[in-house]
Amino acid sequence: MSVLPGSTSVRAGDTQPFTATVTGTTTTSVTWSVSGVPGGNAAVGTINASGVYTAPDSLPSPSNVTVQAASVVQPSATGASNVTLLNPIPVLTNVNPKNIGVGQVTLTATGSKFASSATIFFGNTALTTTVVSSTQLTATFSASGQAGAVPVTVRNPDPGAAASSAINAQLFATQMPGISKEVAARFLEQATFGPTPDLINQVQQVGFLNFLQDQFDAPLSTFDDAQPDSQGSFDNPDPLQRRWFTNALYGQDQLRQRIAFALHKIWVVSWVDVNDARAFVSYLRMHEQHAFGNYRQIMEDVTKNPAMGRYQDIANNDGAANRTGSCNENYGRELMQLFTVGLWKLNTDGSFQLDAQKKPIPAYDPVTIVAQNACAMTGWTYAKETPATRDWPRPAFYGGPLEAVESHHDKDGETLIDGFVVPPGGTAQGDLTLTLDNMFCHPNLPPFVARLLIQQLVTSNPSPAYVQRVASVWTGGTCTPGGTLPSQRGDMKALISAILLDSEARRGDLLLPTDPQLANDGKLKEPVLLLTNLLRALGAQSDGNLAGNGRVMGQFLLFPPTVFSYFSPEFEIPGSTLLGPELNIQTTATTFERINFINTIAFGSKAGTTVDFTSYANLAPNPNQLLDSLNTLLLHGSMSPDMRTSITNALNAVPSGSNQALQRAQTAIYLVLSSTQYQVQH
Amino acid sequence: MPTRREFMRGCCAAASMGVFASFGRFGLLNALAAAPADYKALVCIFLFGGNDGNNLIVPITDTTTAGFRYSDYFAIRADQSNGGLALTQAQLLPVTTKTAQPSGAKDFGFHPAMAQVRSLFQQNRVAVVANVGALVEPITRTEYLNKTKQQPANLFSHSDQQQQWQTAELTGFGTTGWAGRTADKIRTIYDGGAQYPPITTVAGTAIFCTGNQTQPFALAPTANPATIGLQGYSSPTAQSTARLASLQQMLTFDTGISLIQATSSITSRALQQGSILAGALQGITLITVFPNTSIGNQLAQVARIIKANQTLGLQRQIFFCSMGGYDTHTSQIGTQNNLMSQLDPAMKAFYDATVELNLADKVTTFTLSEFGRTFKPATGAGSDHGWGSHVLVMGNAVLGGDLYGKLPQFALSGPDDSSSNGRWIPTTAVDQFGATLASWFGVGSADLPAIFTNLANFTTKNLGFLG
Repeated sequence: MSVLPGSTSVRAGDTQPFTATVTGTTTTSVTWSVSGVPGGNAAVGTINASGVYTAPDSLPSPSNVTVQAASVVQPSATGASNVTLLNPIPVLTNVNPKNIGVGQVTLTATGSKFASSATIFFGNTALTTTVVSSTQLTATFSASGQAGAVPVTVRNPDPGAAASSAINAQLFATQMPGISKEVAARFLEQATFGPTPDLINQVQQVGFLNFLQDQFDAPLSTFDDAQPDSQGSFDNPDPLQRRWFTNALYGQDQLRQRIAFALHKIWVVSWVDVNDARAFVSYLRMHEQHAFGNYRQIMEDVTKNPAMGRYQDIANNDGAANRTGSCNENYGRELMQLFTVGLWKLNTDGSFQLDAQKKPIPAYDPVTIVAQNACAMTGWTYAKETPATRDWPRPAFYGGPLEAVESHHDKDGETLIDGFVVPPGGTAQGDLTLTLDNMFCHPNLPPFVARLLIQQLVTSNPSPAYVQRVASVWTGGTCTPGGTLPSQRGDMKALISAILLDSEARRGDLLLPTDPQLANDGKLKEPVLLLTNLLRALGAQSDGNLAGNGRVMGQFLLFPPTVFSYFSPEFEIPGSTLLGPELNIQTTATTFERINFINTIAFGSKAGTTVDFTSYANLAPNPNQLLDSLNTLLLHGSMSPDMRTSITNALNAVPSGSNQALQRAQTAIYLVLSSTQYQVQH
Repeated sequence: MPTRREFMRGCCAAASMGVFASFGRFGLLNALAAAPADYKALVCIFLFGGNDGNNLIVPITDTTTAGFRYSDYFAIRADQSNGGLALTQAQLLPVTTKTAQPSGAKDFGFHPAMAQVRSLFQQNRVAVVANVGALVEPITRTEYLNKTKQQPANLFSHSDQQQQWQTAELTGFGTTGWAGRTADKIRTIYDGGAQYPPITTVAGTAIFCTGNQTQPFALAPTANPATIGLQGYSSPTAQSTARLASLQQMLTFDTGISLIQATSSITSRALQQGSILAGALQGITLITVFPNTSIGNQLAQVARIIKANQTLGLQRQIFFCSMGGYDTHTSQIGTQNNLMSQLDPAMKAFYDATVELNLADKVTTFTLSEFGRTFKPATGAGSDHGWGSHVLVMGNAVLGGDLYGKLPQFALSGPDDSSSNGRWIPTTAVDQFGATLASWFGVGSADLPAIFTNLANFTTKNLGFLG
């Protein structure tokens, strides 16, 4: 008996055929084993009846295995081959960001066949690498070198050390004209969960456009599959809330997380009613995945998302023939009113169209159109958890999108907004497509969505011209329900870029804070954004256990009180005609809670969240230096002379002694964060 | 539209009133406090989502006119193909009203979870006002369908009808609530010197509470004197005093940005009024035990603040409480039963607390909700957004044990239905309901039209449920 090749090396995951030559018997069949395990296993690799060996994906220890053949008729007759397993050749498919400034940055490499001790190389520099998985590596390092293209590779170590092909990153070594630290900080207040010193430095060098491109391209932060608690229940929101905050605080896909959060606040599902982590994982992942997709796809996938199916009663909405007039209107109404069209006919700049009496014009009849809209979307129910699940109505199941059951779809045909007709006899999917297309093609949609997202990112009171400019990236072309939908309509990347790069979003970069043009700009930081902004700015280490803090401030993450969200985009500031959506939850009660949280961070302690004030204490001997630093990081340079004097007076009251520097730093941070100049993003 | 300048002036008035002269937590007790000659309070419980009044109170017999009988109710509400919503006669808690409905009906049943409210009804401490809703002017089915009379904007929309019930502004975009406007009017008569506002919300922001001059104080239902206010200043030092002075001083800076000014204004009010309230609530306790539910805790907080009214120097107070979850599109029977099981004992405890305070005849509690629900069940054993609905009024000033207004005729596409699903056209307007409460509260009849701008369209200005 002999086995060929007699010794060889195989890379992880690769295959190698072996042949056994049996002499002295007419029965030549053999059985194969790997390191004594018949057929092998996942640890040492597997071998099939034909002798084809497949090496394991990760190397065993030791990394040598023996492939052995034994005669079927005479098991004592054996032959063996000594196989040296080698690390695979890594495959690099993406690096992010591709535009990198000199200084601290976190690089993510995406690909496959990354060994358990793989290393990212930035040019010739080996980076201290965290292996997230065999498909993702990250490295936080201080980039340096000459400006220009820098090849990024991934190398797997010995045995069989090998490098991937390279993907070039672009190293920037100088500041982009016009992007001061303050300008970068202000941009990051709008585009992320809060500026950090490192991110400010990066944006200063790579600029807004490259930053946005890299953010669009960044790998998603993840939500793990929901796990049952000790009672087998999925009704504890805490792990998911912590994960959400961890992603918001530390995820590299900051813009995606911020947009996904905005989508959550528009396409609301609340744990108040849907108290199941499995449902919320599917719902939160959907918003992440679609943040940079197309709004039409969001409409489709949210409609079929089982969490929304339960929250707004799309699931099991029965349109069977004998039930005319009973379609559940919950989703049919809110989909139009809150997610797509709104109640009033809009001009292209988002202002109300007015009739001859100067009154706004309803966009649709609130009885007939709502009822028809609801009926057109009947016949959908949860996926089946097992084949034995009854066909209708089905119990809640979050393992897949909703499915159509044609016998419960209303096939009577419907008349929808603006007289669009869904003909009789259609399928559930066909009618859903027409119904959603009709809303998607409605002229209200671009300005309606544009205004909501501007309010989420930049300002509570965008001018009509701003809304129009942003909405215009979604208009043009002919939008035909059931037919062609213009590709630019609904393009989220285009909309987000238009919002963040618009002159109205950027004018605060250039003008003095006291410029009258800025009088109505900005937005109050809602509790969740207040928490993430201040913790990110201060470089806090947090376990993400923050939902309770937001709750007492009026925003309990994942628990918006109703489908009308945590606060209303229409909320008017009492005594004015200005909108202040976030002021809807800013009261004499919650304002204390916000400042008291800051007090805890600055002077007290919060389990699971720590902040190191050393770098600020080091500046504190010179209060002006300390305030300069905080002014840039926290206020993008907008601290007024009055404010500086006021805080300085408080700093001067800190008695001398060994703790003076630290207490000054704490006092300054407390006062800046508590100030309404900080609390309002402007 | 106020200009930005006007807005800024409005928002900064508080800062010029000497808010920052004293900032000790208990340092701003109202010097004008005096024993009020008379005291009255209105307590609103808003049932968010649209409570199904159809199952709050139900005709329980078949002895009356067709269309108004229990069997008419059952014939439509049972609708098993959609999952029935009918309560059985055996479940309903019977009461007999003092006066008969136009249909002749006097025998009704309360929702089975409303046992204690029903008991108060039997003691003439609770009244029901039937089929109240957002109305600009009286309107019939034909007038509604033919659009020949004015209609409230965006009927059947949660946000719009919530706004309309709170503002009594039915066609435009209201910027103040009727409680806020009532307080504007009342405070010049009764509470001119008080620095703590006449309206308190224990349920967050609600336009109901906002007047032209009045802004509510908001506090958490569980807040107590030790937790109202800023932490870190309980043992003042030169250092902490300077820090607080800076924090307060910065709130007075005009940065030129409206949203900053608006936010500063809220924090300034919080500091000023919070210290007054915290001082007034020192040592205030109740013997009455409230259920430990959201609405129970809210009403307990209201009762404590009512008890502190003399220290606050207020003769008139309005309170806002709320419950959510009434948007019962599916599985309504269980959900509504659960909600009523919280509402009923909380209302009873609150009534008992007003008795404890010897103010049961001075405190009137009422429910609001943006709309009722379709009489016809919707698929999934629920109901859709309706229009008119029934509300409760409670207190010793209430001429209770009676059903005010007119119940709708239980007929789909019938004379009281605005559609074919039983969305009842209200027969009593929010304006009439609110004006009745405001009149009792002390608003003169000449001042009512400015608060309730649609009242002129209705013959009956006072529904008579308050003595």
